[in-house]
Amino acid sequence: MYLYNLTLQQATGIVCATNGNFIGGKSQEIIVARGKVLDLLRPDENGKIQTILSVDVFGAIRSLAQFRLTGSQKDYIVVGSDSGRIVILEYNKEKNVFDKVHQETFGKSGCRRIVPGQYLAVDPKGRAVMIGACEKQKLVYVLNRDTAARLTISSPLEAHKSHTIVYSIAGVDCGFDNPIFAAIELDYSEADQDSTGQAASEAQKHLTFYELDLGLNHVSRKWSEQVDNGANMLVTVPGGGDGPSGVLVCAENFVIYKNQGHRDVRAVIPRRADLPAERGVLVVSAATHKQKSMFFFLLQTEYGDIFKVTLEHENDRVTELKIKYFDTIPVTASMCVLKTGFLFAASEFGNHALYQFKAIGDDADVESSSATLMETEEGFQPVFFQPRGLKNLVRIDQVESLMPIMDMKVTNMFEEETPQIFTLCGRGPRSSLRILRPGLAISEMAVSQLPGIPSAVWTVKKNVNDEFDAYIVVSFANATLVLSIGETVEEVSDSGFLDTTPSLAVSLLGDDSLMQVHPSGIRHIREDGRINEWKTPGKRTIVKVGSNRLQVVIALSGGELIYFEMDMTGQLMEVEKHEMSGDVACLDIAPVPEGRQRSRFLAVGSYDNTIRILSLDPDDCMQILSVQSVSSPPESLLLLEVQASVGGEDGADHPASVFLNAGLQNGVLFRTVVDMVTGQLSDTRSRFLGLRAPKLFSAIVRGRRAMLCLSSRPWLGYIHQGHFLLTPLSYETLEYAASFASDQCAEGVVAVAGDALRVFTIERLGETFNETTIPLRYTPRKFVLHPKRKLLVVIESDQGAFTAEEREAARKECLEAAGMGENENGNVEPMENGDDDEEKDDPLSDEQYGYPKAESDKWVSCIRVLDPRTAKTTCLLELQDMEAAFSICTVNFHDKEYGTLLAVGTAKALQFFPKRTFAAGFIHIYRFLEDGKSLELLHKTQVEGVPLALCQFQGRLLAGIGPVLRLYDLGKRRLLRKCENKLFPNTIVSIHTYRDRIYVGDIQESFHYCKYRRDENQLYIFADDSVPRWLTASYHIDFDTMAGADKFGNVYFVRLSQDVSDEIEEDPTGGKIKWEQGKLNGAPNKVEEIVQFHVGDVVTCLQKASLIPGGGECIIYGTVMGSLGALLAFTSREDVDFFSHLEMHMRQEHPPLCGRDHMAYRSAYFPVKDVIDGDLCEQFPTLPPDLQRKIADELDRTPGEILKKLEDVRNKII
Amino acid sequence: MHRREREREMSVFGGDSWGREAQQRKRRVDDLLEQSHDGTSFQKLSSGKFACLVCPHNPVLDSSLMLSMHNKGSRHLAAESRLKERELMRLEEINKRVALLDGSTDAANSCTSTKRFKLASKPLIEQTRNAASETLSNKALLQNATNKHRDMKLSRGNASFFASNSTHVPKPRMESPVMGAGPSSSNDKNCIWATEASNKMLIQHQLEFRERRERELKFTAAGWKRDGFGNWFRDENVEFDSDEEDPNVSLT
Repeated sequence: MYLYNLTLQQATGIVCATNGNFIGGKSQEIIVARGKVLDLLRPDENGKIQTILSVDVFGAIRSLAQFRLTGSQKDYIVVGSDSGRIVILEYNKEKNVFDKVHQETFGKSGCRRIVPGQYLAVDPKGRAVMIGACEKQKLVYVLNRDTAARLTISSPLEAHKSHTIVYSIAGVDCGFDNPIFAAIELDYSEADQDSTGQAASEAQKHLTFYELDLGLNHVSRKWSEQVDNGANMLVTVPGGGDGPSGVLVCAENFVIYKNQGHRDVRAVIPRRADLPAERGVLVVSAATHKQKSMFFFLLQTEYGDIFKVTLEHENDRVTELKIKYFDTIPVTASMCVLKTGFLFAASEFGNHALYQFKAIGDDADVESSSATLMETEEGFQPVFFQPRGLKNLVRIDQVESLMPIMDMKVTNMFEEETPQIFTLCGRGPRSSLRILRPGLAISEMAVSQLPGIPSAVWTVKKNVNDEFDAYIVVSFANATLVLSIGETVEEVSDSGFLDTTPSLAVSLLGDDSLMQVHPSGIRHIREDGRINEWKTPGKRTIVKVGSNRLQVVIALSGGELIYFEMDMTGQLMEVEKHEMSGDVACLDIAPVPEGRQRSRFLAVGSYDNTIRILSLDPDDCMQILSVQSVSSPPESLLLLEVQASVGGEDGADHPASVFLNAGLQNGVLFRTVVDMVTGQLSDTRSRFLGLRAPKLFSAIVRGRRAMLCLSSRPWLGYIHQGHFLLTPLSYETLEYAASFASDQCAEGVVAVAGDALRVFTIERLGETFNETTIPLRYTPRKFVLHPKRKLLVVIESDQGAFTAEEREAARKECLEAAGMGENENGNVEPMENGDDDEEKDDPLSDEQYGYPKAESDKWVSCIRVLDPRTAKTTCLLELQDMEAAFSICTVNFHDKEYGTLLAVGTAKALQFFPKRTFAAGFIHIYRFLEDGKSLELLHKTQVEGVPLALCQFQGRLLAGIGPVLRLYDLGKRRLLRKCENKLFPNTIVSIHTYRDRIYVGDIQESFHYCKYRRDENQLYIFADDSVPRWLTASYHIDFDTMAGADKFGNVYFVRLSQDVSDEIEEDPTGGKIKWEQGKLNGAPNKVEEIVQFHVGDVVTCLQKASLIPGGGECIIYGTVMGSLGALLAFTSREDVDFFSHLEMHMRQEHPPLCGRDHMAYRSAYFPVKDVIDGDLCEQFPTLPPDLQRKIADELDRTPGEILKKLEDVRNKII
Repeated sequence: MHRREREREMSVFGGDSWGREAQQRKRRVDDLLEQSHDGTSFQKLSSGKFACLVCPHNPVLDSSLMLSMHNKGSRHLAAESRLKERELMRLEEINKRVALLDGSTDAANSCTSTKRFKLASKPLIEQTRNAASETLSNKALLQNATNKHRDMKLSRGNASFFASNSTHVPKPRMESPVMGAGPSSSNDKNCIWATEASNKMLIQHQLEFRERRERELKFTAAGWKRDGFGNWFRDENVEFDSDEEDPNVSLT
């Protein structure tokens, strides 16, 4: 089995981010690392975050920094990754790529203890960069420029210190003195030697300054001083005339200003009033804002509160450190303050946000200061505050993030054309159920009813130079309606259009005249109001029209074509007639190329299943240039010109070309390239779009021509980053469409469907899925589908939080204390998190501020029955008594009267630190009431472990309780233990069953295949895996095969070999399975690994599904970073050969950006086996054309064929 | 002529051949004697000795003369009458079942009757089942209904077998009045007779067998176990509901 891995949705979470001026000029951009993807983002003029570039680097990005050489206008990016190399990148605006400026190797690849890459610090003046490991090694590279003003990088200078753990590093701003780097270090050499543990308890963190002597080209430890053991982060303080220099040390509960030769200035971080006393406050992210005259820091704590930190200083002496409460936003992984007045908050979990500064916190608020720091016997006096609504920030945009995907199911619950992907995302109060549908999101601008059922719609400008359309023309069965576009859209009668007849085409002709084609003639409306009418000869009627700005071709009934051209005087002149062999099914003329008089090609589709290309040149007018036969009569034709491109922001290099698109009656879209010179057709592709014959329309997307295809659902064909993408729109079936431009929406679409006129715009191009979000209360763990009722049952649980009642009480208290009691109206539904409207009358939404924190053995948990159609929760049961739900399944017990029951595995007072402990484990059995809409507890059974896996098996319930697999039957008051097997190595986390086989997943030892013997009432393990895999997800593929994913980011398939399987199945006496013994406590048989692939991200869920109607099934996986991918099995050997060769060439010709070897990356833990990386193959169009041609030559193909292959395989998946 | 000469040459007794002739005569007498015995009551062993099949301990006798002497012995006669009695009972049972079934059995599907009972795609089990049903229809053998160890014990009319398992073997329905049936000593007669009858009987038998087995499996799966006497007891590691069915009650 060979698989093709393709990422369907890139990771949406953010690991680290930095901002700077990467494009040059005045703009501010943000670079974000999403695990293995590097994105360049920019807020556009409307304050919407736009992705400018997204590159898969095939390596784990661990740190990012930006620097600027003095006097330069542009920032460089330094990337610390798992490649054992430091990489300096520069954004190339012309080609829209990152150019690798330098790549220096210093160590082994992989995320290792002592290989640098985890920490990066740059000298604020851009003279040096330090790259550090978690332990021991730190390297300093000197950055300079050569005579041609190019960036140079020195060989590394070592600043190693063995037996030290590094917590954070930062560059110290000391103007143009020798660069200094600061590090928080912990020396563990003594603790290592001392077995009594005394030295370990006395170990002390130090703040160390390393000085790079530029003259001697040497790094030395300059200064070292003790800091709090809670110190975790360093923030550079501006220096060199702009400030006092030095660093801010963020420690538990304190922020300390430190510098060499300066006394510590310490201030306490204000605490939330409701925080339990034993909890500290840690700073998790920081951002610095620096202007000429002032600077301040924004520090965010682990609870989401942002504090503004300012320093009072006289020259180099800091007199006071002030920490003032600023605002509260969801906890971030990284914050970026842009010079343009924005704050980009890369959330740790859930959607990222862009905020605008309304104020910079100059108003009075809770403040702690070093000057008022009080030390008492119990320590320093804390300062308390109450979080409040946003005062200084206002959110203007958010970027959706699925991170982390906790569970996923693909099913067609809504009975749409394609299945929906249900994902459980997020954490704590920001968690949600997201329903993903393949397709682009659209936003509907207007819907208006029309007097009848319209058959067609056009938009038309009055003048070719107009920016916006002037009229919307709607044709009915026997009339035409003209709407004028202005402030409002209203019907007009003075347009000159004939309104008593249906229309066949309406368009702008020449520069400023309009044309209406109706069945009995052509009406040409001149700019001055004169009307020329051309009547059809005899009783013949016009059936089809093709036109562009200067040319019109009509087809009369019977198959006669008449060609008109516009002459110099603006008159429409008949040029040529041509008799076709039969009726014409459809026509199209390409738009007039720029700088030309006419388009050269006319495409004519006939009912004899052919498409002909006719010449419109005066020399060989109406000569047939080429003929293409198709599988079914064409319904609609569109000649789509793709403009030449040399990269730039939206595309890669590609020459201009003309594509002929045809929608066939069997629902297939047929695409072929038209040779610009000869009119020959080549390189055909076809794709099934839906049950109706696609109608094709041209539209404008991002200033380029794109294609709308209306089949049983609408599709958009457009070019995105060098790929032609054909993506469905998440919208209803449309009849007819036209592009639409007005001052409200520049690039809209007007369409008719039923008796309504709809105006909409297409959003977030380039994305594969659009999502519907339903908020949840706690971190979702798992969910099941109620098989018959189309309901979801979700279990949610959170550690260290208060129950809903306690929260409610605390909240009332807090609101009263804050004097906002009058705001509270009794009927607000405080139990539910609002989705994303912060403006509602909830001044302290949990989503924004997080839940109040409780002791770590306190758990809150709920079981929710949700109707996804209405997004309504029909039943929500909060578990009491610190119980938390961990597993769920539906079960039908044999010959018991209840029908489908729900089993939920819970644990009480579970704690992970210092040791995993719990008070009790339970299995709850619930019964569905009211058509499955609500639940009733039947009974609960105490078990001796945490039941992490539940599954129905032969009318009974299988439960994995710690290392025990147990079979339960339903009793009157409790579950009855019927059979068990205690021979599993660690903890059972997944159970799948098929016939009498049971596939058990162990938390760290992969799969165990078991069999239940009824006649003996025994469970036997007959096969297991030889590789210790830390299982995070599993899926049953077939009788002998399981797919799994481990926590190191690998996906793998294991299979029991056929002969062993047969032997197991044909063991009539049962003696073999009973007495056969494995070696070293293992099972007698071993499964074989048949597929292995390093995804590079922890896969949390796997499912087999088909995302396109009638398509083959593939394995869909979701990851912690919020990405979705698919593994498709190849069906032909030929394809395997082709793609493995393409992958090989891509590896050679296009090595990954961050210096990690692609093959090594995909084999990071186990050698990659039988999986071809589609993400690498899909980078082919981003290569320069000569390289594309070179690779294509070696594969004996043309670049076009390779692109087609890539498109084909993508179309098989989505 | 030639043969005789050759035989003479090969003779171990020298020139005179009377010894050989005497031997042949003796054998002929033996053969005649053997024929006079009932063919099913003894078996001729490869050593030329005879084993009595009627007596429970199967005594081995050196010659047919001794066999005939043994057959007249009181012990043998007692064993024989016991065997006949059992045979009678069996025939009676068969006749009863034949009578219970409607007579419309066509000969065509009689031979394929077992095919219709394909239970699972387990070839070995099926082979065993085929063999068992063949034996059932042809020979006077009974099947062990417990089938606990998945092999079907065949009994050759040994009384001890019944004794040990009588608790869980379905009671043969002997309450019905005895129907007249001749002593069915001849095998081939019995066979023709049985194939017709066995068809429906077999189906019934196997259905009953399966049903019973399914019920037993349900009890084993529910955690019941059996002791050496076939009594059911509860597995101490398994939990039971208060009102759970007791196989000791419901299966007898």
